[in-house]
Amino acid sequence: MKELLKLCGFTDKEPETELARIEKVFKRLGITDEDIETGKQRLHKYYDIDLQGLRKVFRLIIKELVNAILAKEDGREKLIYGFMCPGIDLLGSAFMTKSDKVFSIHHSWAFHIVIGCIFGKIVPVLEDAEKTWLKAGAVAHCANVKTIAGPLSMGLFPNPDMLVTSAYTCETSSKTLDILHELYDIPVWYIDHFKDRAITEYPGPSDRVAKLTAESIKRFVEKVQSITGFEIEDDLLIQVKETKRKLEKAITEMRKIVINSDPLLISSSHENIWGCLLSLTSTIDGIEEATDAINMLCNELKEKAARGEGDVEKGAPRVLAICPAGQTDPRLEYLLCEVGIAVVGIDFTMGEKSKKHSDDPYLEMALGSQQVSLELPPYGRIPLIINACKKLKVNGVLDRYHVGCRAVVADALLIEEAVKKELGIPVMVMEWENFDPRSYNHQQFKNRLEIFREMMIENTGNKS
Amino acid sequence: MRYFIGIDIGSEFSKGVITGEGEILTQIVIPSGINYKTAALKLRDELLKSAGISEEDIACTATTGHGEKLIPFSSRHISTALCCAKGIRHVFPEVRTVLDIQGQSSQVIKLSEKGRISDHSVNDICASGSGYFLTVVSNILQIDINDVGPLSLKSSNPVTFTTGCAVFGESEAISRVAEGTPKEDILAGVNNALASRLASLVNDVGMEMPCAVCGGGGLNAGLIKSLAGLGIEADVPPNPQLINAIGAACFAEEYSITADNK
Repeated sequence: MKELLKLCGFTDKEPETELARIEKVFKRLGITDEDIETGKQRLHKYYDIDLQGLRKVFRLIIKELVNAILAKEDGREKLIYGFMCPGIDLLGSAFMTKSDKVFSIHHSWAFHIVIGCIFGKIVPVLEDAEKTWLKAGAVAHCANVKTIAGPLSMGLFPNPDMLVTSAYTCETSSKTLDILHELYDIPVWYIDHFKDRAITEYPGPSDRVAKLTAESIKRFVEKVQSITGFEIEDDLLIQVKETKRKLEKAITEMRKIVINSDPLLISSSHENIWGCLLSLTSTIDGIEEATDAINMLCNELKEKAARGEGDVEKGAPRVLAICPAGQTDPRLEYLLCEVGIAVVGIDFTMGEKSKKHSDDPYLEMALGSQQVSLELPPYGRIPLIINACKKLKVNGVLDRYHVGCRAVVADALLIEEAVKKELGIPVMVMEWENFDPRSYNHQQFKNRLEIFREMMIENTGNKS
Repeated sequence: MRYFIGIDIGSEFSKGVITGEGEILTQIVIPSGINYKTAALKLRDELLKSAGISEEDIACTATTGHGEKLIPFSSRHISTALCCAKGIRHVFPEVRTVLDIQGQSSQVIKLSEKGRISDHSVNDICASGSGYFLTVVSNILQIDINDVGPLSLKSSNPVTFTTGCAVFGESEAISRVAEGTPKEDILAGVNNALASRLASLVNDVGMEMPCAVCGGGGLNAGLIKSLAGLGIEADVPPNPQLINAIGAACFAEEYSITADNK
């Protein structure tokens, strides 16, 4: 296990107690010696694990998972889990900075990466959720909700004292938490947030929506304050936001380095790692540690660029991917590299940041949550994608839409039509499940991606 | 002389060719069975035996189709679309649209003047547009799959299938048998339904002439007639089911030359 932990940035200077905690958690998660070997192989195969900055990022993610699983044993009296909920990462960090009696985690990002991406063991968790109540093959239940239900039904995570969600992105999130309430008697809090903006309000955020969301987030914080007895001051929220902004800035800087690279410096299989980092609910110290790791990574990537190294062959067609990298399985992103396709951007990370800001931290959270691709209906999302294609100068668009998601399924063909019409570049529409490795069909995906690459080369040749 | 092997492991049949100096020296088709590795090994042995050469005479082997990870002697595994494009250009250099009708899926490939894929449409998660639909119905009618084409051409009153789905189509075929509909009319109806599904794939990419049909579906003269009835006038190469294997052999030769140059 020490070798695996070394790959994940843990050093010999690590306190024995920390290593014992990890061992305890791995045991609870059913990680065997064989799994450890698999984990090492997968880290080497799918990630640029020689980069020390990346190792430090993995360290933070493993620590977050360990802290979450041992929260009760660590003396945390109140556990709050957020799921598809605006502002929860920021609020969670504020709660944890304020009190060591509270633990708050945003969804199961760290769980996805450790159990899914590193150990390749997410399927039993999905199966357990399906066995309990989310039946396999039911499209209405995307595997994302299974990854929050499965760990609870298997007893991997302690049951929280409160679940918080919003139906803004997808009503399945609130329905799932309803069921968890029925099954485990866990109180659920809903944050009001809605999409029905007037067309004229796009692409900017809506003040009406922001106001309602901000008030709702505030009511949630008041509830937490009444349960825990501590107060969350606006100044603390602003301080956490500022700290997170530095991390966001570092990640944006890193993405810029990657976008402008040829050969592509680092594969898109790392994208969900950055997403996880942004969603960590660490204390302010933890966020600062994450920022340092990304800054180190930026320097390493610059050195890698200077050496002319990359994860995809030089001159490979550049692609904007629609929908995120596999959350629990890096194989598709790896295949993209193997086939010779450079994913230089993902629409979910390309949202124009809101020009509207507010001194009120609650309004600031609400405004920020309206601008990302996932949160937009087609007439907001398509222009964002077209602009991203132009900005990134891509040769094609890969829409690997998440089949169980209402928010992205409906507009896949509209996106294809719009991109082809406006930009004249190939679009490959591919159905898959973003959280379920069972949907990975190597032969079918490889076939399509090779064709896609060929089409992009042909199209680029015609234009030049 | 340097020889090259191209192998296409299909869901129903495995196809292989040996080429040398751009010519096809030998070609073999065997059933795939349930073990693709066994099929690939058997096919290679039979090809070598038929050509009268040994393993050492082969400069490069490329494979396509199923079982990428299972074929131990393959230098490169290439997607069926790329092999199809390469193979059809080898036999019909002018072709711009090709319909590749396979056992489990079908694809339509649009080719540029240079022979590169400029657009593509595939039907790989639905049996209605693939040869499997014919297999299902031929089993119900208890006739050999090779007799489907000739028999369907004798139809004077093709039935109209109300569904494009192979599963419902199977039920519909059973109903027709129960009604006493002649086999040739049922088969012609299936060919029309299949052609209709393929036509929608062609529409996705936009047809450019000349057009060709390859894959096992190319052996079904009734299907070719049904496609023509929908305005898809397609040429069929000799041994259409071997096109992807020929494409794989062409790739094997290219890789061998590239490796030599390095």
